[in-house]
Amino acid sequence: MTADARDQVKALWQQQAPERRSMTLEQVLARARQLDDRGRKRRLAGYVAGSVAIASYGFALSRFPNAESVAGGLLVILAVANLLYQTWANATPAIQGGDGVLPGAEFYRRRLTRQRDAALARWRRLVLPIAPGFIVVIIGLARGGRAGWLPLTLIAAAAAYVFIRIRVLDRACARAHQLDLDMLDRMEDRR
Amino acid sequence: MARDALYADAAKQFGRALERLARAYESDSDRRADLLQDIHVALWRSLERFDGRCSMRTWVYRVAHNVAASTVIRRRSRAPTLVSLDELEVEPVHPDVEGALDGRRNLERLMALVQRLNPLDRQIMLLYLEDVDAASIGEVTGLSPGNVATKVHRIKKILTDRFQRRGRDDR
Repeated sequence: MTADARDQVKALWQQQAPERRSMTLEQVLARARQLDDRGRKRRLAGYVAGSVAIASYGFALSRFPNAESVAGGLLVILAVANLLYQTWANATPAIQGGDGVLPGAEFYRRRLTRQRDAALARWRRLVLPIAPGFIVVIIGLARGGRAGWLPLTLIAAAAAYVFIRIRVLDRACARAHQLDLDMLDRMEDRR
Repeated sequence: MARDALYADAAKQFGRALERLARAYESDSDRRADLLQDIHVALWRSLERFDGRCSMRTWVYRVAHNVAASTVIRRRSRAPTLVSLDELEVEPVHPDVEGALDGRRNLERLMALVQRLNPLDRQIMLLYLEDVDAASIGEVTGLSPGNVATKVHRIKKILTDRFQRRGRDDR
C-alpha cells in the first residue's frame, strides 16, 4: 500500500460527516450536575435498600423462635450494616482526580487492576460476612421447629447456589481482566 | 474562568476529533451521545489541573480515550471479545469482500475494524488515523517510541491487507 493510499484511508476517517453534537459550556455544566446527581441517587438507593433490609430483618427477629435464630439474625443485620458503611466510606467517582489525564497504558492498567480486585473482593465483602449469620438462622429455625427440615434445606441450598454462582461469575470476570493485564504486560515488555 | 476559556478553545479545536473518537467506541447513537457528553464533562473538569506541561492536544486525547476506555472495561463481560493489533494482523482477509466499495462502505468496514480492538490498540489506531505523529502517540499512551513504531507498522500492514484493492481500484 502506498503512502498515498494510506492517506486516503486517513482522509476517509477524518472526513466523516459531523453529527453536530458539539456542546456549549452551559450544556457541559448541566451534564456535570446531572452526573453528580445520578451518582448521589444511586448511592442513596443502595442505602435505602440496605435500611429496608435491616428494618425487615429486625422485625422478623421478633418472630424468631429461639436465641440461636435471633443471634443469627443479628449477625446478618451487622453484616448488612457493615456493608452499607463500607459502601459509604469507599464511595468514589468513576474517574478519580488526576487519573483521567494519565497516559493511556497506565490508566488502562489501573482500571483493569481495580476492576479485577473489586471482582475478587466481592465474595469477601458481600457473601462471607452474611453467610455465618444466615447459617445460624437456618439452624435456629430448624431447631425451633417453626419450619420443616425440607423447606429449610431447600432455602439453604438456594442460598448456597446464589453464593457459589456469585463467586464463579466474579472469578470469571477477574480472569478476563487478568488476561487483559497480561496482554498489557506483554505489550510493555517490548519497550 | 480560565478553565472555561480553555475548555471552549479545546472543544472548538478538537470537537470533531472527539466526535469521531466517540463513534469508534460506541456504535449505538444514544450511547454515543452519552459518551461524548461524558468526555466533554471529563475534559472540562480536568482542565482545572491543566498546567501546560504537555500540549493541549495530548491532554485532550488522554482524557477522551481514558473516559472511552472506562466504558469498554465496564462492559467487558457483555462485549464481544476484543482483539489486539497482533491478532488482527494475522487474521485471514476474505478477498471477495475487498472488491469495489464506495467510501461509505469502506468507512463502515474501517469502523468495524477499529471497534474490535482492545482499548489501548484502538487508541493507537485512532491517533494514527487522526494523523498524530508517533512521538505524540507515545505521549498520549505512555508507550515507548519503539513500541509505538511497531504498532504503527502493524496498523499500516492491516490497512494494506484490508483496503489495498480499494486503493488500487481508485488509481
